[in-house]
Amino acid sequence: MHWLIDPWQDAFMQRAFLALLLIAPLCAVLGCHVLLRRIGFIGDALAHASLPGVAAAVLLGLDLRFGALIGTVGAALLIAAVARKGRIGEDGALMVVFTSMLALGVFLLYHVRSFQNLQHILFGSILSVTSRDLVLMGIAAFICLGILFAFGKELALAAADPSYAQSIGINPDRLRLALLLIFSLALVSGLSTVGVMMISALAIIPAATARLLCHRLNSMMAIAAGLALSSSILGLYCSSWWDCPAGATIILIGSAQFFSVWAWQLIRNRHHA
Amino acid sequence: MIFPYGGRQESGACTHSHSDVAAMALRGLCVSYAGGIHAVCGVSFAVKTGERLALTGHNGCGKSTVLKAIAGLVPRTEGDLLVGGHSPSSCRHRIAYLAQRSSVDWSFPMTLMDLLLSGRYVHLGWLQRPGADDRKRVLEIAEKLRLSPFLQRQIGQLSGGQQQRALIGRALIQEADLLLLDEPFNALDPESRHEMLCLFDGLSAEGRTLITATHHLDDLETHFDRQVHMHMGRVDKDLNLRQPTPAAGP
Repeated sequence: MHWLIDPWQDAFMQRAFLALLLIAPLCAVLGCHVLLRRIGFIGDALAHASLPGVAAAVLLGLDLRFGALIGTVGAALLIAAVARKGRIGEDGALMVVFTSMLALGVFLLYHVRSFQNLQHILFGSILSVTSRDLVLMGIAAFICLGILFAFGKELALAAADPSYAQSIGINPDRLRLALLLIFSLALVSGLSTVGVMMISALAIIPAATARLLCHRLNSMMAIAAGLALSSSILGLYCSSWWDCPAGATIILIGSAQFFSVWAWQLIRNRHHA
Repeated sequence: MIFPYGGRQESGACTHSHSDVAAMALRGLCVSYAGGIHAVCGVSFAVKTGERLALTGHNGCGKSTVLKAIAGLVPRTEGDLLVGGHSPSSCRHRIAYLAQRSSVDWSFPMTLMDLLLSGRYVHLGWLQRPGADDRKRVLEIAEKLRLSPFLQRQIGQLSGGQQQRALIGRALIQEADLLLLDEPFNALDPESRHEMLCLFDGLSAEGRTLITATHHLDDLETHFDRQVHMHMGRVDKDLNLRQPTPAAGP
C-alpha cells in the first residue's frame, strides 16, 4: 500500500491535489455548458488570449494571474461584441480575436527577455501551487459555481431553445456572455495546473466523455466532474511514480477515458445493429 | 416571483381580458432588418379570443417576422401592438411563441419532463426552481396530450408529432392564452398533422387564441376561423373562413 500513500506525504502533493479538487470539476462542469453550445474551441481561444495579458503583466511588473484575467476577459468581451455587431458570426469573431490576441502575446513576449517566469503559465506547474493559489482557486470556484447554480435553468433553456427563452424575457446573448466570463475566470484560475496550452482540455474532454454517457444536463455535469477528478488524481499518481509532467499526464488520461467510452459505444452499437 | 424576467411587470396590469377586447391587435406593424430593409410594413389585423387565425403566404412574405414581432423577438420599427388590451411587455406569460421545430436543439441533454417544466419558468423568474405544484401541472398536461409515457425520454428520442405536442404542452403549462405557432406542420406526416389540427380545435374551444403561420392550405376551412394572407411583407387578403366573403379591413 506504500505506493498508494507515499505520494501524499509531501506538502506540495497535498496542495496539488487540493488545486485539482477545486479546478478540475469546475472546468468540467463549465465545459459541459460550453460544449453543448457548440463553442468548445472557445476554451482554447480564451486561454491563449491570456498571453498578451501575461506578457504585459511581466513587462509592468504585475501579478501574472491578473494579467491573464484581463487578457481573457477582454477577449471574451471582444468576441461577444464582434459577433453581435459584425456580419462574420461567432466562429469568425472567435478566430479574428483569438489569432489577434495570440499575435499580440507573441509580440509582447518577444520583449520579455526571460521566459523563466512564464513557463508555469504556459505549461503548468501543478506541483508548485502555493497556498495563495489555492485561496484564489477557491474564490473562483465559489463565484463560478454560485452563478452556475443560480442561473442554471436559464442557461440550459437559452442553449436548448433560445427563441423561447427570449420570448419569456430571458436575454440569451447576455447569458452567453456571463457564461464566457465565468469560464474565463475558471480557466485563468486553473492556468497554473496544466498551463495555457492545455487548460481548455481539462474543461472539454471530460464534458465530451460525459456527453456520450447521459441524456440529462445534471447527470452530464456530475459525470464530467467525476471524470475530471479521477483523471486528475490518477495523473498525479502517474507523475509521482514515473516522474512525468503532471499536466500532460492528466490530459492524456482524460483522452484515454474519452476514447475508451467512444470505442465501447461503437462496439455496443454495432453489436445491437 | 422575486426576480421576474426582463419586461414582465407584477403590477397586475395584465389580467385576463374580457371577451369583447381583442386577444391581440396589431396596427401598422413595420419591422426592418439591418440595412433598413423592410421585412414587413403596414401590417394590421386583430384576433378575437378563441379565434384560430392562419397566417399564410409564400416563403419570405413575412409570416414568421410578424409572429416574432408579436412575441417580442424582433423589435418593431413602427406600429402598435396590444395583447388583451395591454402592452405586450407586461403580458409575456400570456404569449407562447412556438418556433419552428428546427430552431430547438433536440439533441440537448434534456428530458421531456425538463422541457415541459421550462413552461413554468416565466412564472418563477430568476433564482426560483420548479416545485411540486409545477410538476403536478406538468403531469396533468402530459396526460392530456398523451405524452406521459415519454416524460423521461431525451427530447431527441421523440417523434416529430410528439415533439410538436411537447411544444404545445409547454405553452399550456405556461398558461398562455395566445399561441403563436410558426410552421407547426412542417415535417409532420398526415396523421400527426391531423392530430395537431384536432388539438388546435380543442384549444380554441377552451378559449385560447391561435395564430398559426403555415403554408399548408388543405384543411384551412375546417380547422381555422380566419386566413390572413401575406404578400411581400404586407397583408394581401383577410378572409373570414366562417363566411366565404372577404372581411372588412382592420
